Amino acid sequence: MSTSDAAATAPRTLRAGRWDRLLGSESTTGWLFVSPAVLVIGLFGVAPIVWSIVLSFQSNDLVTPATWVGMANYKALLKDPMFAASVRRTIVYTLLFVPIVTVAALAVAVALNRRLRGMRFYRTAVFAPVVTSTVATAIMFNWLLDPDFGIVNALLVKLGLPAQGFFQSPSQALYCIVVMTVWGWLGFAVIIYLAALQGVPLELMEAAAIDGATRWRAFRRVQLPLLGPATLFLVIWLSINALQLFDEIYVTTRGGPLSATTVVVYYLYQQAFQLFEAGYATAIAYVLFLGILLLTVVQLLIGRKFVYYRS
Amino acid sequence: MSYVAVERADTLGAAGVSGTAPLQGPETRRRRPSGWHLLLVPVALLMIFPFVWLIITSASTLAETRVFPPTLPAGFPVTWIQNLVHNYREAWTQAPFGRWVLNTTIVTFTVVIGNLAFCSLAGYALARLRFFGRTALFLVILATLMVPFQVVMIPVLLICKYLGMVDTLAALVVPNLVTPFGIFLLRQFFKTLPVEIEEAARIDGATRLGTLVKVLLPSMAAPLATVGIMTMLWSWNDFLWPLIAITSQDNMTLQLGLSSFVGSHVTNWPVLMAGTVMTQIPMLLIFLVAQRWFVQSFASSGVKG
Amino acid sequence: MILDKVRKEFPGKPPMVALEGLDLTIADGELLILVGPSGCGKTTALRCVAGLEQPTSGRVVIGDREVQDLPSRKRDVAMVFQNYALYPHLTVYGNLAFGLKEHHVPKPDIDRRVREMAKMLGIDRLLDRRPAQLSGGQSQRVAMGRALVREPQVFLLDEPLSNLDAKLRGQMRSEILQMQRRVGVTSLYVTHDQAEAMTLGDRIAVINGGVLQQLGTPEEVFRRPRNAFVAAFMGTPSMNLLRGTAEDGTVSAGDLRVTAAWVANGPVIVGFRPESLAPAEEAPGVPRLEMVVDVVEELGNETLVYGDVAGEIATVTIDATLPAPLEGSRARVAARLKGFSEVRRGDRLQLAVRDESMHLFDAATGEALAARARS
Ligand SMILES: Nc1ncnc2c1ncn2[C@@H]1O[C@H](COP(=O)(O)OP(=O)(O)OP(=O)(O)O)[C@@H](O)[C@H]1O
Ligand SMILES: [Mg+2]
Repeated sequence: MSTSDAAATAPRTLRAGRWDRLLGSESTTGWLFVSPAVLVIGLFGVAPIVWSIVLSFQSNDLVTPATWVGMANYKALLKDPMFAASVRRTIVYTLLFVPIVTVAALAVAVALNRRLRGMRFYRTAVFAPVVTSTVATAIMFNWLLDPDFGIVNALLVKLGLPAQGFFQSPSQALYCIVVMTVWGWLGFAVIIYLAALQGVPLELMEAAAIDGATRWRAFRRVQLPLLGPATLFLVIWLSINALQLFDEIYVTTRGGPLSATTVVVYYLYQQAFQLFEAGYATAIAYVLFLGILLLTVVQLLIGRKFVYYRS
Repeated sequence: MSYVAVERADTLGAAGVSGTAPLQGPETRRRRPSGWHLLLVPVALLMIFPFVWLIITSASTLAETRVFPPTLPAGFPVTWIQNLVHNYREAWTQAPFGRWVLNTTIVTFTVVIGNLAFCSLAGYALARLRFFGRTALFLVILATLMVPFQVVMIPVLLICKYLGMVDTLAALVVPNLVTPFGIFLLRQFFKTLPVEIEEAARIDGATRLGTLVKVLLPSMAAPLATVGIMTMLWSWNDFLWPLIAITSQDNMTLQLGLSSFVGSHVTNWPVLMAGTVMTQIPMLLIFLVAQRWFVQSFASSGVKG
Repeated sequence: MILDKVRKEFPGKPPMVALEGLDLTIADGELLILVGPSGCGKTTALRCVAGLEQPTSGRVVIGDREVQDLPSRKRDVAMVFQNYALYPHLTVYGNLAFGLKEHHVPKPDIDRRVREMAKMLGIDRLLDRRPAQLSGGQSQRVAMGRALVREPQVFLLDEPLSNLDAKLRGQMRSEILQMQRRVGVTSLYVTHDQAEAMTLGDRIAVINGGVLQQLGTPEEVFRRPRNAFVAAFMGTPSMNLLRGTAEDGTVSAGDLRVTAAWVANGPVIVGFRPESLAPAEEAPGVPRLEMVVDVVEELGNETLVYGDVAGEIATVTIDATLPAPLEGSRARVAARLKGFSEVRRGDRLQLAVRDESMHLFDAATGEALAARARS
């Protein structure tokens, strides 16, 4: 019925905005907005992923022309006893580091999640290592654990124990790395747990208390299950970082003594930048990537069984 | 009204991860010292001790670090301060710490600004604008988020070499100007915002960019702080990439410089410790001042990332 | 302002058609109400005008400009959102000034206009507050102020009152009306509340399923519904609709007999509003029907009586989520009786239907048969 009105007005209306349709369209704006990201991530994220696949099929010292070797790098990797040893060390390290940090952080977080005197101090003490660089951490522990003049050995002697070699002992160096990195990561894990604990509704704990549960049981049955997602996240995140351990080793032991701390990424670094085996190093990186992916998937699958998500 | 996600982040920051904790359960009413101190005191001491010993050593003379068992340096406080001054001066003159601070500050500052700007733009577009290839692009970005740096570091180095950036600060800045992490985090946040506020702004005459800058970003302190703080920490403390991208001493960052300093001073602990303290003080100070924001950032990046 | 065959499909399989060629013409300064059940496309129509959605086809004309390809900011429209959508980081002043700043109005003018508008709306004491510190009614005023201060060519409101409590809603309704009259801005007001539509608009557009059902003054839409949908949608309780048959000028539905000489033989729908029913003894000689009373609602000055009558009810799907009446059940009818009534549950009530308010609709299409059944 108003169609006729509209038709009548049509001739004298100005049709505006053909240009706006093109320039102001969501599509144009969208691409404009993502273009810096596309440029940077494309050049330094996506292209290198593809390139490194190619590299891993090459024998390449980054100087002389590369030769295509197919799967040779990967085959060599499987037979490389040094690589196998580095994988073993990495696994040992991860198996120690991840559970220790997780359990310790849970205990500390539960303790920090209350109103106590001196809480500010406690929290600051626990969080401060988080912002400390890995290099500085390594230097500090190198000094604390110095076999000749270190304070830790002094304490041991005072307690009537023999002085230890620590970073200079092939049998202890890896465990020293564990201690050092636990110190460095504890604060982060505590923060994650604290955040999760804040998310547990107070009423739930109160309800459990009213139901007659002891505090321990209330924690076990109510709080702990609700920390499942945080734990899963932490375990995955800590594992990923454990498998990529490098900085601390570079600064403290350089993979020694007697290769006792040559973990996968350190081995990769040696191959790439000391022996100039870029192709071989990249193959190691891909195997590492695969390992991380696999471990993450397995953890997620196990997590799905045991972790209870609200909502 | 206020945004849901901001509220949640605020609760986290204010209510307890830092500062004063909220009332938690029945035990808060009791006044006698809690048994939890038995756990917390040793833990806190263990966490603090390396720092304390670091500072004490930097207030020692070289000779005092060459005795076993070690003792506290003599002459508190006058000699301590003299030693401190001496050691810090030594460190400062033996290595270009000033230069390294400057380098690291330039790199960190640029990377943080770049990430705030570009990740906001990209995160907003990926959350809100319908454009061709959006889903594919987002998936690609997610994929790069999963790939460990070791996989790409050699090609990235080669690309930097090709672009003439190796051994310049540009190599430290450009590849990190945008991080998939920042894009992902901000995109998730934009998704939680009510779309009407944006629409109101557009009807009120703002362009998309204007809407983003004038309406959305000002009320996004929490997620922007997260991106800013995470990239700041990451950039300030990064080691592996500077190690392979930078060769000349003048272009080193603090962490790389410090590690090169270790090589030449491995036996002079007081000076090395002084150098270490110098490299850590800026970030520790920022942390002490903005602890609340740091903690909240870690928590929210953890929960979502 | 004109909407000309505006069609909007949302992508999907199959595409979701929200508007099927909507035609509307709104005169300058008019307040047009867009009313319809939930999901009928009201908001979509409004957003097409605002430029927040791009119509799939059709034209939107504001003044003498065809604007369907323009971005929102160039359309010179203002909108009040259901949840107000105030800028959370700006003060009330900042909220009001935002649009003016974006349009590069000189600073002194901004200040003057913001203060005038705030005064007019009675929010001048709130200018330094932030949205989080405002009550619902205050937020509502600020949202209106923010839209009106720009002196837009078209003023759009999407269910602006639905977040307010009932009492405040009544008050704000008249305030909106006053403001609109005072500013004289062409306005399009969306609501799903037909009572709001009746009291507010110069004209009402009733929409269903993305199709315009009727456009007219509140009186026209109420008294002369073009089809059974409009009849059933406008008014509470709804118009009673019974299935019937027309034969030789007489329509019969249950007990009811109506003469309507112009109706062709065949099935029809008979409609009559609850308020046109009265106890039979008060109105002799008009069509009657008998109701078995089921529910009685005393409202003081009137009584709502629900009960069953003979015959079969005609259902008009207003909201697909409502259950259809059971097959074969007796027809449920509502009556609005004056004053206090002695009726009890189970009573058999003789009711008369005032003739002039009887409506007849085609049983197949729902179209009104002539404007009204006049005897
Ligand atoms: N962005 C969208 N994508 C797909 N379908 C949509 C979209 N927006 C709306 N629709 C659909 O279009 C139809 C009309 O929606 P619209 O919001 O206009 O209804 P409405 O009349 O405003 O309803 P209400 O009274 O509930 O607000 C609905 O069926 C809705 O599901
Ligand atoms: Mg709507």
